[in-house]
Amino acid sequence: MADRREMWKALGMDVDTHDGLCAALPVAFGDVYLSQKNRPEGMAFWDFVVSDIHGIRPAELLEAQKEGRKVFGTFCVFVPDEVVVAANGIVTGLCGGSQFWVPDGEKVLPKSTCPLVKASVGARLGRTCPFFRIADMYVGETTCDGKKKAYEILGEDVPMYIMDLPQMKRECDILKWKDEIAAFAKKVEEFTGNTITPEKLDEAIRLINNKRKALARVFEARKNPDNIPISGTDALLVTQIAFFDDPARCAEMCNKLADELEERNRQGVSVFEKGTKRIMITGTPMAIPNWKLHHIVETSGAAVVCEEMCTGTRYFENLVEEGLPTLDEQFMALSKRYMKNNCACFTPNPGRVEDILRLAKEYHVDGVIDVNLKFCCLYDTEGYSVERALREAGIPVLGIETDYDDGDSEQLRTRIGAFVEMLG
Amino acid sequence: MTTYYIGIDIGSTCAKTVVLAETEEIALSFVLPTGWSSVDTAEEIRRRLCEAGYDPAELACVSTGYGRVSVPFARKTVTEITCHARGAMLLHHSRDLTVIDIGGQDTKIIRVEDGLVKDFMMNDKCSAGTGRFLEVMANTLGLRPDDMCDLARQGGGVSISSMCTVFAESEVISLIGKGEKKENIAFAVVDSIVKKVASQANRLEKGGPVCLTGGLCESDYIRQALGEQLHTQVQAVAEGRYAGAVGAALCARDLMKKG
Amino acid sequence: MEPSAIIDYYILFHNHTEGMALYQYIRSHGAQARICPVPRSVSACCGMSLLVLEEDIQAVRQCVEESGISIAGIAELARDINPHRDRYC
Repeated sequence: MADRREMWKALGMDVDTHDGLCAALPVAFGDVYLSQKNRPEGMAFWDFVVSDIHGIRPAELLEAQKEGRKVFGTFCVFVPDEVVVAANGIVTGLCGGSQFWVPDGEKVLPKSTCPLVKASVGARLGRTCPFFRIADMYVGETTCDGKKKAYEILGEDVPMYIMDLPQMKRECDILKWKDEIAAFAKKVEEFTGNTITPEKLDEAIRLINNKRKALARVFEARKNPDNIPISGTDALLVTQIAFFDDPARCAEMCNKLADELEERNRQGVSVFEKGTKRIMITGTPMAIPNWKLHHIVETSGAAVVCEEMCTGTRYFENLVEEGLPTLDEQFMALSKRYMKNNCACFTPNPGRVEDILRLAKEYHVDGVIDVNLKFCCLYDTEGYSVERALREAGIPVLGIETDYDDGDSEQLRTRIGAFVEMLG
Repeated sequence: MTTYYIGIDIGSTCAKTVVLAETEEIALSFVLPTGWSSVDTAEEIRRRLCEAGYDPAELACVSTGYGRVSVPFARKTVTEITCHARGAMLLHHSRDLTVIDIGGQDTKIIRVEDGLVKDFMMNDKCSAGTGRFLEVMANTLGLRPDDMCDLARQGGGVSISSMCTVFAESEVISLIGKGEKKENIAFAVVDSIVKKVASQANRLEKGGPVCLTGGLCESDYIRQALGEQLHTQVQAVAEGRYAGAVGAALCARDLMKKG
Repeated sequence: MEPSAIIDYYILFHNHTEGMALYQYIRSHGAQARICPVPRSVSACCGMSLLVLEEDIQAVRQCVEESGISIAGIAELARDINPHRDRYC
């Protein structure tokens, strides 16, 4: 195998500490993925990416940088990839999903910060993730207090640009977000030295729309009420990697996988026994390699058929209008699409409850697990309305609060096991 | 000949075993400390069952509780939520009830409607409001847990503000240091648990009689204090600590019926 | 826990291009293999390998020979896959 250590060293990484993460990955991957039977053949691509997750894609990004392209790291589904792509830039996700990074984050952040924020800051400051080293600029957004303050700390170490996301959905807020997108476009032009033209932006809009459509096709196949063509753990991996991959390749691979899943549905090839209870997971995102909850659900007699989360439907639902002639109209179209996202940072946020009730029907779910990453005040509080609405609709729901640590696995197994038993 | 079913509930502190007759009567029940190894405990249970003439190799056996996976002779594991609900239904002769189980390391509140679990709630991974909390505080006071609960009835006027077991223990130690009466500290400890459990229970829609199961249901004072907090009568029966094991035995019976 | 009596085979590579090429060759010739990270006991560096079960190793060895794709070795390890271990990374 090509030795990645040289590349990591050149990136200024703490290679010895990073080795601890490399040591944990094969075991976790084996337990979660190799233990599964009858997975779709198309998952080979994602297995391949994970098997060298800090090697293959980072090496590609470094090649692109040599050609003068800039890499923008983002933390959230609100930052418009289209703008970066239109300026020949590359977007990579920066969310930390491993407990491995948390202690380094806790050196500078309060312990009562959500693990995603702690892990993201820890990955940068601990120099233990190549993506955090490679990104030329970090693009933040104001979706939560934890991140807002964390950006100030990250900003001391790396160029940081922050988009101010409105927290309400009035007409003036959509206009305000459009202005934020325009300002971001200006910044991206300066930083890359490339001009964003309406033609280039339209091309980028089509590219990202295609990626969304391809992910939507994979999810569409999961709606089949009689057949489960792909495990939730696999589908989650597809979504997680989508944040890091080249958008055109992501679309191509997702479309291939969707072809196979559709065929599996026609042939009745399922990864679970008939009658397995169908679970939707709602709530806070699960950044790679956070597979804990899905794995526990799927080794407790149930299957995950949908994720209503940023690493799920909130990532690909709704498209941006294509074919608009001017930047002004395009920025507005982008704003409209992104402002349709029903993140818990908005108030009021009735759209999220509507989404959840709609998805529960579309995916024929037997029960919902509403999951909250510890210390995420927004999703935790909204959990009250979400769970109440589900109960009123007669859909069983289990509220869970967890983080990246293994320590609560046994408790989760009891709760989730009991929930599955309750579903009958 | 009557058929018998075995239910084993291996909790974090105690392992409860029940042999249930076809008539739903308890033919045998015993408690063992779980100790360090649930595997050894399971073996000891097997030995005792065989001695009494109930060989688990020949009878249907289901295990539950935190050590449920460590019972090699169990044909199936079922979670303690389902088992406590089913056990409580049998012991309390009701198909609509709210079950509160204060366990060694977790507290469960289960809403049963028409014979089925409708909803449930468990405490987070910290041990506030659990049997373990009570045990640690009783140790600090040099008392047995049940004696501490009895003593609490005579106390009052003191409260513990920390939910965390470790911090609460320091509070208890400083109360001892200040010369506070033992009964008042005991009151504060029990009061803290009861309030925590009640606030948890209040988040769940209640219905039917409220029944306390698990080891602590043998304390009249806890039952009464919990009733006061919840503004309702809390019921308990003598076999309450076996509710999980009884439920497991009922699940074992289902296994046989389903074939 | 006792080490498993089942042996798993891991095909190791010099680079992932050859790894993917062999994987595709194996699959197109009806044999079985799965892509996974190299187990730590074999290599100190992250990288891909192919997991092959005992019953498939004969066929896979044949694929290696026929395809002429260069490999870095085949490691034999006691199976260490446990979905109830609950150790995540």
